[in-house]
Amino acid sequence: MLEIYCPYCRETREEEEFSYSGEAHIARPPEPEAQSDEQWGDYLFFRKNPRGLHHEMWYHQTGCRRYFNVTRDTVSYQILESYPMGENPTVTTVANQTGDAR
Amino acid sequence: MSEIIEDKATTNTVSASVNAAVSIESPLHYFLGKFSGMAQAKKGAVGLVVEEAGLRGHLNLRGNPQSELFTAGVEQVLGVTLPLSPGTFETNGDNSIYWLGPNEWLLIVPGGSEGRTETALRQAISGHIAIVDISGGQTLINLSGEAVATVLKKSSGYDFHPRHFGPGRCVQTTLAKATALVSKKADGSFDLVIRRSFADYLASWLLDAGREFGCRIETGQR
Repeated sequence: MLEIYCPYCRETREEEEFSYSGEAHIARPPEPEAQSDEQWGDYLFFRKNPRGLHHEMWYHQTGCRRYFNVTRDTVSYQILESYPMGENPTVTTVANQTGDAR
Repeated sequence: MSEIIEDKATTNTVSASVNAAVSIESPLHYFLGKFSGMAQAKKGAVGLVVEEAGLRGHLNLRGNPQSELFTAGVEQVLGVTLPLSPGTFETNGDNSIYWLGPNEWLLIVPGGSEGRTETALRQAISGHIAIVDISGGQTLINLSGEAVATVLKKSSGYDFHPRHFGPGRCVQTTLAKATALVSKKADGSFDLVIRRSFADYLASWLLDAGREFGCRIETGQR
């Protein structure tokens, strides 16, 4: 069971309250009709599957019903930070992560 | 333009001016009545008292908390300060405002006054807001008694310990696999706002969970 900090409720809650919503920071192309089929396919279907740090969206389903972002280590499952929508992650490389993930 | 807006406000609230000839029943009226006779499992001791405060007016309110017009308008209409801290609620006895999200609140007002409240809010606040009457979709039950904290601990993963969850706090969380908005009142009792579709299930759960402590059901309007 993960314990996840919700940046809107400002509390750590159980994973049961949340649902995973896929990779974060995927911007919709401003002009979809100008995209090639390959670019549009990448945007729609292709996702990173890293071993290590992953920026992903979570949905606080039974709490405040808001989406937010989480940086998680896919090896240790340790959650390194939670941050609201529209903000950028502060943990972007394994080197500047805090704690003892590995 | 203002006429059109007023027209809209009236149309939106027609449903709330309930025809007195139509009888209304709260989601748990049959349920709690059915069990009210067989109240105490354990003679003498009553650890949990369950009571429905049905047929209140419930309004879902969304707006921008940074807008002073919005926060002041709500306070003026309801006489209650809009709670801006996560997981808190404010009440003046009649009207209560619960924090649901950074731009979302639940207003609970005396039954029958939700239409007037909605119209008054629409007149007091302009701009990008949403008010939805959800009175028919949920109900409020009050839990009191010595064992109430233990019953909640059995039912939810949230930490309801008094040092963490004191009076004035509210939280939306999972309760017995369903969802509930749980709040702690100044008198130490807990108010649960639950979906009407889960009301039967949750009431059954609470009666079962409270049985070991002795459970009493009160059907009067709290």
